[in-house]
Amino acid sequence: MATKPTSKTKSAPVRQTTKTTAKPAPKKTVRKTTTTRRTDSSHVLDELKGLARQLKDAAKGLNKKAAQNPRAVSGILGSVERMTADAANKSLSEAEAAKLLVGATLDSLSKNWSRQDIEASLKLISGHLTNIIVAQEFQDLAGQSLRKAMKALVGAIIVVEGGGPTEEKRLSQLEIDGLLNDLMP
Amino acid sequence: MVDKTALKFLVVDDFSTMRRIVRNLLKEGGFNNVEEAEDGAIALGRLKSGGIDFVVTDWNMPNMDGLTLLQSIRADPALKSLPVLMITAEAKKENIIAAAQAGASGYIVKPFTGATLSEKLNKIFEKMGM
Repeated sequence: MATKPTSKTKSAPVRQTTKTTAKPAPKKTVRKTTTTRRTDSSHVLDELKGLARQLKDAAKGLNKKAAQNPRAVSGILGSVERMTADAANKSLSEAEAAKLLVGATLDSLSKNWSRQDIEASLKLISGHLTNIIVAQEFQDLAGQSLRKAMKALVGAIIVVEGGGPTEEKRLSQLEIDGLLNDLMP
Repeated sequence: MVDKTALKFLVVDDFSTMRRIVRNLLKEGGFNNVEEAEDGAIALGRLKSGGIDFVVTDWNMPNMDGLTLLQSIRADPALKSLPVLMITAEAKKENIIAAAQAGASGYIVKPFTGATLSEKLNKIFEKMGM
């Protein structure tokens, strides 16, 4: 209760003083900001140009690398596969452990567990769920690796017209069920 | 009446994660008797040694794919009546026709849910009179 009024009384005079000091010299401040804006924008533009050059060079280098050594891309994609497999296995282990605890907790209903036992069990389940969430971090790492691989593959990909599976050709489970019913009544 | 939960499943997939997911979903459905094989060739060897009641297989696998496994099962007098459920990312019309012609008992396209697996299993059990 006491802190609120003091913060209000303190902030009000400060605003007033800044207003009064800012009024006499508005032109100077405007000039200052425009000059800083000009220098800032030119600096940012230079930086952007530099970055664009770097990116262009990097892309060229990556394309050359990909064309010369597709094993590099293969290595990146291999690491993505490992990461996704590790994350999936970790998530599955955590989910399996959590399910065991849920089962035990459900059994406890007929065994008259104490409130503390149930609380401990729920905390353990919560821990497993958190680990499942944490295991999803692979997406960040895998995403980065995939971007690297995609950059490296630009220019090295041969586009085959009409080749490869397309989403349009894929049937849904419902369509498959209908087709199977026709084929195997 | 046959106790369905006593059936022994063979889950065939080259990805251990997918085998594990299917195993977990089967367990959820009360099927605790599950074995795994990582390709069609290993699966066929395991099937020939006997004791498997139900096959759940992927299509794309090294050494022997799921379709060849299915054809080999149907060509073997001792195995030909085994129910074979395919769970695969292959979802083109020609794939479904090939699987049906080879004698697939059911076909599930990835990604799938536990409910879809349960529904297809029950449909196969019905057809088998279980």
